[in-house]
Amino acid sequence: MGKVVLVFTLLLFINLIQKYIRLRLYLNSLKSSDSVIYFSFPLGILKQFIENSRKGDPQAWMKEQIKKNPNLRYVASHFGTSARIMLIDPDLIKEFLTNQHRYVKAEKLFGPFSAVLGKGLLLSHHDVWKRHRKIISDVLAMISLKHRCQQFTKPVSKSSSVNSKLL
Amino acid sequence: MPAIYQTSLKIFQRELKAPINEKVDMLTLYQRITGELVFRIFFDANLDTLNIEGQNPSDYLAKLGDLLTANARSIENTLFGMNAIRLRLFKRNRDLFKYSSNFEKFCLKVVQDCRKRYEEAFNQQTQSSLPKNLLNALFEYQRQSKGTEAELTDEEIVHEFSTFYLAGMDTTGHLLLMATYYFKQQDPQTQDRILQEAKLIADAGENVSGDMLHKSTILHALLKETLRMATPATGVFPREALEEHYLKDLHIRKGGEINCIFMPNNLNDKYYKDPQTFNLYRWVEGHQDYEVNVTKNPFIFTPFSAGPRNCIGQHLSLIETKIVLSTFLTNYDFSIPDDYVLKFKFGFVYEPKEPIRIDVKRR
Repeated sequence: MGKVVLVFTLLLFINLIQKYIRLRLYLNSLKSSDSVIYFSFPLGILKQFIENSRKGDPQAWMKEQIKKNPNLRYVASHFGTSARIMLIDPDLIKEFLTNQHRYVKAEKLFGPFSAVLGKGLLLSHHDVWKRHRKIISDVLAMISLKHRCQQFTKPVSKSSSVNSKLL
Repeated sequence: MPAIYQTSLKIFQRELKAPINEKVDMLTLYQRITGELVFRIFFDANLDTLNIEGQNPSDYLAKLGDLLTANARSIENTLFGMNAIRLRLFKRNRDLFKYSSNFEKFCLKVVQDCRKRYEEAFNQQTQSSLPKNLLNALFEYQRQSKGTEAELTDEEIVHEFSTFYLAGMDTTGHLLLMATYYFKQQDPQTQDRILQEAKLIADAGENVSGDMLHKSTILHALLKETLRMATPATGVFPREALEEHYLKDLHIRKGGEINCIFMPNNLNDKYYKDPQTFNLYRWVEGHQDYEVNVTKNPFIFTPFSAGPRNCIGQHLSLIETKIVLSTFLTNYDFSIPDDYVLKFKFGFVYEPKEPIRIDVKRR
């Protein structure tokens, strides 16, 4: 039994090391003069967030990078074994945000959120998202119209008296 | 808009009763207002009589928001995923399950109560008399789509309810908080200009119009500059690539995670003059500090994201913020303790590490 556990643990460890090696190679392939590659075993960019949070600004490292290089286009790093590319350049952001059919929301990070918000507008994708967005857009348009109509039909009252009555 | 004015006034009046002897936690106060507004605007319901475990539901939800992020950004989730959180080894894990479960029960109860009203109206064929709100629209869609591929599930309705409550309450609450903080950092002349616009809005009260809000240029600039320096949403939720592809020249492998982060552009001296300084006049057209280049590219300054998945509530959020902030600034004077140092953390959003507790008095 002890041997089985040992072999199993060893296999898990080898698998993990393989993942980090592949990750490192991928991140290295993204290196360019207008990018920053950040690799840190085992946490990745989370390490920066944790350290900077202690100092009083989890964004401090990012702010520092853009100060060093105003032409920075992206930061390539990782959260654990998952590669994470953080886009900064407006053209890349545009390309990314206008082609959302290529992506789904990253499940791993949002495990904790999914029990509460998983099927809502924020975290759903593709057909479910489209359906919800359409219903909500219609509701927002309706609410806006309702308030505009109230605005037109309401009698004009002396504003100061409205104020003093309520306060 | 009248609902926003009435609700904010009601809550300020309730929470800031004279004499105000204690310091006021502005975030809690603003979140109670924005939470109540979400309920009134989207669900035609009232939060006054509701509670979760004896707490104000908005206070409870704010805590849940923090726990969601604390767990999502935890070492155990980063290395081992949700299964590690399910082991409940840390207090944050155990609290997450406790708060999620209680909040879920609360949401289910509110949704069921609203559904009962909807079904009664439907059975009596008086559904046209029902308020036009988000929940009724979802119930109606669910009824019509029953048995089709696009059928809306009960879970989807509850999650939509939670999404609107959390997103609508927390982000706008933080924008209000930070705008209040930065207002106090302005020179007396700028504060005066903001107050003049705020007074016009607050004096109009229930008659406040879209045009009036649109013309409040200094107030609008205060909000934009607040969003540049301390945007609550610092990026979009990361996406996972469904297939290998290129974003321009950038190779994205299948399963790779991508997101965009907004703060570096907000502080880039390629786009802004003296970006570390809070200068609201950079958003005022005609002013010598106006940043004309930023407005030419809509993907440089994106506090509400951009593209088809941008923030659907952005206009409502700005309307809410202008009215609530104007009501507060016009009726109350306040001071922030001299020894307060602004530091940040990641709660549900990017937010002050220490609560901003202020001294408030009636004007």
